[in-house]
Amino acid sequence: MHALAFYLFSAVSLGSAVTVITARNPVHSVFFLILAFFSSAGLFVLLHAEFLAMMLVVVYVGAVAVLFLFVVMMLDIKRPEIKPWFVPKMRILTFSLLWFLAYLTSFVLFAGVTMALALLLVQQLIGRAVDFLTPGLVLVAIILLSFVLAGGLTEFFFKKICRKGWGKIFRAFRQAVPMGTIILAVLAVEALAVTHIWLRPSDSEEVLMAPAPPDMVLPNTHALGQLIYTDYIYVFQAVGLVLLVAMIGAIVLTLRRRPDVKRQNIGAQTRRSREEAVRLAKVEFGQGVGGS
Amino acid sequence: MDIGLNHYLILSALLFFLGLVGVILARKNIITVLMSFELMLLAVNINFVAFSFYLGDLVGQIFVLFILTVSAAEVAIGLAIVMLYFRNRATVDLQDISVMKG
Repeated sequence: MHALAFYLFSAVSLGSAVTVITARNPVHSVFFLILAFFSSAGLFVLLHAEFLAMMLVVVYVGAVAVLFLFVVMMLDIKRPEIKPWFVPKMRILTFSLLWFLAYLTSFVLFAGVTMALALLLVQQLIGRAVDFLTPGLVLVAIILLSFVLAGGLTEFFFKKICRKGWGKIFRAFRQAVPMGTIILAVLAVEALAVTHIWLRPSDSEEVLMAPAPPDMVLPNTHALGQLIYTDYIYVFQAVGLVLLVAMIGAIVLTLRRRPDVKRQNIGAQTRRSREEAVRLAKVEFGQGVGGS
Repeated sequence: MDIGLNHYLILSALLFFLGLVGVILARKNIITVLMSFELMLLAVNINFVAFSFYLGDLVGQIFVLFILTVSAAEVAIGLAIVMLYFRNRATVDLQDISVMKG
């Protein structure tokens, strides 16, 4: 039952996310963004975070999405022509996807086989099972080598099976491969570090910053309130300041004063003195006051 | 099938990259860029809450609260800027916003 709810909410949120970026009518995009927020609120409820689910509905849907709707309807956004916006990019999208899948498959094959062989070899040499991080540098070197080899292999096969028009795309991709490999190497090192540092929840009682009380003891809202107003009060006030600045900024940016609209000047009204407000006039019998 | 942390992490990663695709490949409408950015923030929020639940730590949820408020503030300012730009240029088509030639 829990699994059904999770898959339902996540399918709806992913589907509506796809529709947000591919809808032709921008009002439809906003509607599906609202649907994504609602299904994510459902996911939050599944994760026992009811207060955050309500905050998502109230703040994101009730304020942010409505603001989007207002702006979309205020600006004269023309609906695009019949072809959707991503059709010219379709070739690059398919090509990127295929390239990425081929790269990933060949990388997994290379790295997996080499890693297993290396670990077996080290095990044979040392005579006992090795810790995961001990051949760490060797592993990183294997990963980098696998990336380069996988890239070369995929390009080789792609050149064999592709038609002529992909030459420019190939060149563009080849320019991005060195930087991409560097970034991927950094990510691989970080992933390795995470696997070594990650503590299981049962071991980590002393590193929890704010242990959550069980649900039956304290509701989620109460527990969050106990934390926000004590340990995180400074962050709370800072966020209030951020909201104040945002409010002032939005007003300052978009306030327009029309020159032909009469409005009150309260300061001038309260600065009025008796001398300019009251005038004593001696009036003859039968004559009006006259003059000003 | 037991729903574990990995399920939520994969969902959050997929949502994040969908938002990223929307930000990078948007061509027609700057509002689409802002909405895809909101999708990315939503993915990060799901990530935080999933970790908060599976580690038993409430800090994740507090951080989500702050991400929520800061993103609301940023959307307000971003839309004010978009409206100002539209007042001056009468278009929000991303192809036409090329004064800086970036």
